[in-house]
Amino acid sequence: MGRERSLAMRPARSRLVREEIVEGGVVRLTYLSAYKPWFAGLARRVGAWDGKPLERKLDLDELGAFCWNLIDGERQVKEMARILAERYGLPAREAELSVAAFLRELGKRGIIGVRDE
Amino acid sequence: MTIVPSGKLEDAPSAVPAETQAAAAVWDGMSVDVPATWEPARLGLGYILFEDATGPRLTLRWQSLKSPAAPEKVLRRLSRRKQLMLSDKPQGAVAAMLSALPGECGALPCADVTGRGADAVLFALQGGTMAVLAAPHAREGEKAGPWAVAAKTLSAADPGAFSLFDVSGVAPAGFRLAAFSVQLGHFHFQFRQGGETLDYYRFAPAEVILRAKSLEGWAGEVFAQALDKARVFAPGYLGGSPAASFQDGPGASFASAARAAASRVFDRARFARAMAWRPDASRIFAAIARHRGGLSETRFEEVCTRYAVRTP
Repeated sequence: MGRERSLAMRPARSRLVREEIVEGGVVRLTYLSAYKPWFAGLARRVGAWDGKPLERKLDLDELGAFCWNLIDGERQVKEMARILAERYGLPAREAELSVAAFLRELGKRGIIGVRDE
Repeated sequence: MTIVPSGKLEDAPSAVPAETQAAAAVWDGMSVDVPATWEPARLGLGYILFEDATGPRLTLRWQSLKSPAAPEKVLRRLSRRKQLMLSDKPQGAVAAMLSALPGECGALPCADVTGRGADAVLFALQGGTMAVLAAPHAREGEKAGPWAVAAKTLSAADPGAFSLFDVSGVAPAGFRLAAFSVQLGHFHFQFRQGGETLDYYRFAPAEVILRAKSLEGWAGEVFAQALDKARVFAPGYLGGSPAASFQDGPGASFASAARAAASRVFDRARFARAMAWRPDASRIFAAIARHRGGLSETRFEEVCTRYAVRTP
């Protein structure tokens, strides 16, 4: 995927993700996860897992929480990067890479999805 | 500049769009002017790849040669190794770069022997003691102006100088780039001369990094490994910017003189000077010098002052 196309994507939050503010103002995301299929089968067979989705938590740092609050399903990645760069005085490209890395992490965990323009 | 009827001088609209205005990038002994929208995407010793939003734009590789060599000899050597061959039909950006380079460079158009790589220009700088391979990544129909400007402005630079991203600096004479690390929010460039080193750092965003921490407290924690153990930094100023500094000798004592002698053999005996400062609200700069006793406080401050925010 080209850089221009990926910057035009619009990330959206998963409806199954729960957000809370915990001690210290930290944003905590609680999301559902599952074991990998080969391990899930093994875990069920030995009785270590009942098959229900696992609840995992992810605490966001200040920059992560800032980016998280920008995800609304409509805002493009490049717009998020621009706002981040403006807010924290980061060079534009560095802000793009930071946002991209953050979204990649959230995407890997199923916390967000992205849609094309 | 145009004179309007009222007699006032006003600036004429710029004929060059902002995205094509060139800015000098300096890295590991090489300087080149590239459009402000081209940014270094990959770096190495003697290597830089510029790209913009559309993809790769220019790859540069360069190497110092022990004795002056003509580009033909270099190309012959690379051909024997089946890496490059002479290209007989240079077109587009390659042709533009060939035209822009001065005749004494001995520029030659090359092509990758596999046919997969970009066509390139091989030439020599500095009287033949630096071989340069420049590969433009231009798309069909694109104007070759930026590459011609890059070719015209390519030149050897002070090996201790660097100017890219949002930082620029000049290490003292004799220092050369030895190692570097560019990560999100954190840059590190190390210059070396013999057994002495000078490390430059940049951290951003400062506002988040220093949340509920003083600059001197943070510096003491972050540079504990670079300075062999946690050190106490003293608050102060560098040219009006809030700063924190640490210094470890040398003094006028016999022990200090013995240590200076030992530092010629053992790296761990070297003296250290460190400074962290905030050149603006969003960045933290730092410099750490490991030396053998010849670096005074004043000289170190001069070195730090030459490390500044780069404005393209």
